[in-house]
Amino acid sequence: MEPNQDGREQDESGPGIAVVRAPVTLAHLRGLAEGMFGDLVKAVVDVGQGIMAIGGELHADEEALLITAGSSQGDLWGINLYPDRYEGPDFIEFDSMINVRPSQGNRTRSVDDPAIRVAIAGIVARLVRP
Amino acid sequence: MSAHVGLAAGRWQTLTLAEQLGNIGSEVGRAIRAGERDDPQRFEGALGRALELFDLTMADPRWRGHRLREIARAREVTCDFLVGENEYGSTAASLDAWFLHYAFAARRDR
Repeated sequence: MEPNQDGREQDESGPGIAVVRAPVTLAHLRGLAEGMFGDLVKAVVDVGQGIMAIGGELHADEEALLITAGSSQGDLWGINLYPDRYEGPDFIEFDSMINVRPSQGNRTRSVDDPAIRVAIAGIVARLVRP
Repeated sequence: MSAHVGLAAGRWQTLTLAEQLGNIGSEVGRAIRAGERDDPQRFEGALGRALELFDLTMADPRWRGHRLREIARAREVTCDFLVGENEYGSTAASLDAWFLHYAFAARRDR
């Protein structure tokens, strides 16, 4: 896949789904949210590579896209981004079915390890700009 | 307007029942937490998505029969707790746990 001007790589599994390696704007996230769920954008973050996929209807679609692009499943965590809550504590919601991974000790839809939550928040802060 | 355009177009019906119910549970869990935080915007969004996914599941011809009855009962109990009088005496924990079982089942090999 070839990255476009703002670092996103489009995929054929959906019109809005893309791998993000370079910062995208908050306005872009708002556009995705308005075009799909209204208030949120689903995202899967690769804490190993510091990239994420956004814009899928299911976290599982974004997970599959990243694995196809070379990510390891153990590094992938599903979150929701609420553009209207940017810079607030509710901007990132750690909640996805793909996070249920008993083999890694994560037994809820959240991200149980605080260190991983911090890593995810750092990657999102780097990849989403006002 | 559907929030899940691709899923409504048929892809939802390629998922297993555990995957479908696990995903519905994600939205139900979000609605529960938004309600607890008195966040009506998030509550309405999550509730709407949950009900849309419930309806897609109930329209899935694979679940006609006894499975459809259980799915319909789950929708009824969910609505009863989130926007009804809670006649079934559900709790946030009990409802969340019911759906989480399916998320586990869908992800048991991961």
